[in-house]
Amino acid sequence: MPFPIPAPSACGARLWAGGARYLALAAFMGGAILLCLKTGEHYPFSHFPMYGNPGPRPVDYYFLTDAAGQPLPVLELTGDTAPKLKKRLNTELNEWGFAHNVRMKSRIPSDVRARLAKEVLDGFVAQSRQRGTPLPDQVQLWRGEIHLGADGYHETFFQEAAN
Amino acid sequence: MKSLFQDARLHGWRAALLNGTDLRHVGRLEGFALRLLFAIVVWRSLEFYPAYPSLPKPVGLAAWPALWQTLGWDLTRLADPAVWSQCLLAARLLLTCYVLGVALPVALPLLALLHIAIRTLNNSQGAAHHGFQMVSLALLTQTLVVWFLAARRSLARARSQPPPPWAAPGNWTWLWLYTIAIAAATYVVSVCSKWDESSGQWLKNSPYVATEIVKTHRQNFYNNLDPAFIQGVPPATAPATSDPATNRYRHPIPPSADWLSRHPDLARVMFGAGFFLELLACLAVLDRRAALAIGLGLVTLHGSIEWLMELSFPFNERTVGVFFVNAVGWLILMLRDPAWWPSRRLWAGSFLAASALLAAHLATARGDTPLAHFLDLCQHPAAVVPELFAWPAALKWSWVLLTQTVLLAALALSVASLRPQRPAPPTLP
Repeated sequence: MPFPIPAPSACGARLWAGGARYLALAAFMGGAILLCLKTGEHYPFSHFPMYGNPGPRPVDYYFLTDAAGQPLPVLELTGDTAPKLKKRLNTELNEWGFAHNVRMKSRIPSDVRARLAKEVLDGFVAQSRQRGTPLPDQVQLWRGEIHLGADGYHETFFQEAAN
Repeated sequence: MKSLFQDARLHGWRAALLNGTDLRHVGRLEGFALRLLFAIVVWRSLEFYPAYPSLPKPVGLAAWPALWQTLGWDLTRLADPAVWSQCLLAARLLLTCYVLGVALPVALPLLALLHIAIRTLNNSQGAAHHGFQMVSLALLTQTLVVWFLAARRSLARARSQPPPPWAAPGNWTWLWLYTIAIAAATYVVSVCSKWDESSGQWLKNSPYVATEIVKTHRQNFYNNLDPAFIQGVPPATAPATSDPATNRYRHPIPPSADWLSRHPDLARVMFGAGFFLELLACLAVLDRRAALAIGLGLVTLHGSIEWLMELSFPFNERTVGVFFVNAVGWLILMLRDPAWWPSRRLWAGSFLAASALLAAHLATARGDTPLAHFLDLCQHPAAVVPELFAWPAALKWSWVLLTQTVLLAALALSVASLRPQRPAPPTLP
């Protein structure tokens, strides 16, 4: 069956109706995108920055161990996942950096970094006690760094804090 | 469109339920199905209950102390299990109203507020979590839509006129379209952030995402010390060398990260495909076919990220599955419009293809090969609903087979509908 060709006036009306619909949707999406980008991390808005800047520099992650260095199940004991260790420490470091006009985390003095790391560790210890699954009396917070070079991956480890 | 009962009396129940659904519009039955499925997603997301007793780093609503002082209340009250169980009871009532389409201008904002409040408490601990924003934003957007429609209907009533067709009861097009629009916007935001943070170098540097794959595997291991995340190799219990800070916490590199680091160009193609898919997500508002194509792409993207990085966004995936892929909507369109009803040959072909994919998936489900993961990905769009329940295997796989058949037929029809129509040959006198 040949495709029916609508009269020009009907064509115009359809184009107008369709155009208005898509214009409204485009304006809504544009507004939502701008709002999310401008607002940043203010739930429910977010600029969704995950994996936003991959590069050759090392990637770090954090974990907890007991006094003997034996790894501890972070989620089981604190109710939060291991990535939260990094996120909470980064929040503290960023806030300190912002307040003291230090743009790069690597430039934060080591004593300040150690103090902030200890505060984060203490927060997790308190949280684990509160939920009835206490961490051991002595806990260590470790940072692992993953390096990707021409000869593959290398990992290095640093103790960030202990209580 | 009039009320359901008026329409049923005038045109019969079939027409009253199915009418309104076409390539760019959503009618009564489809609107009901979308609300029912999304209500299940919302309910499941409310079950993730973070009982934090304080707000050390308040964000969003929690960052307005003046508001909470005025109200004499604050979000930490939600950490009280008794208060939260009352909230869940209210949520059940509100979700019932939502599914039935009753009192939406009241039920939806309350649902949105509840959802935003509990997740704000979670995100006010100094560690943002990005798994629930899409559901909260969808509820917020739907609130704005129903308020706007209610205002337009009230205006029509005040003028003693019928509401315009787009605001008539039983037309759920706006709810569907604007939910797609807000979900699509979140993917575009993610692209903008990538572009901004990497100073436009994201695609060039995307092979380095492989290092993040190693990181997410390590983090998953330290969550519960599950050796599955370190290739089943138990970690050393004591320092292997004199330097405890080097060997003890070293684990095998995930094969996917190793492969990607050795094939940077292929990695760039793979990650680039995801980048452009996110960028083009906003085209899903064009019509049902575009929403299906982009929705299948996004569900596959989430499935691939889950496989590669052990990082899942189940509520994003399900929101996309319900509103973009929308298998129920396609089935209703097929039932309503003979032009979209697949031929017997197409039904048979789709069913056979779906059966073959399902059989191959079940046969390889225990494997950890790329083929097994590819076959698993093929089931993802059809499994978004049954994955939310502990259904018996027979029910789950029957549902997946049926959904997969409808989706394959819908894809074939969508492609066929894009082919230019040839004019009919002139008829001989």
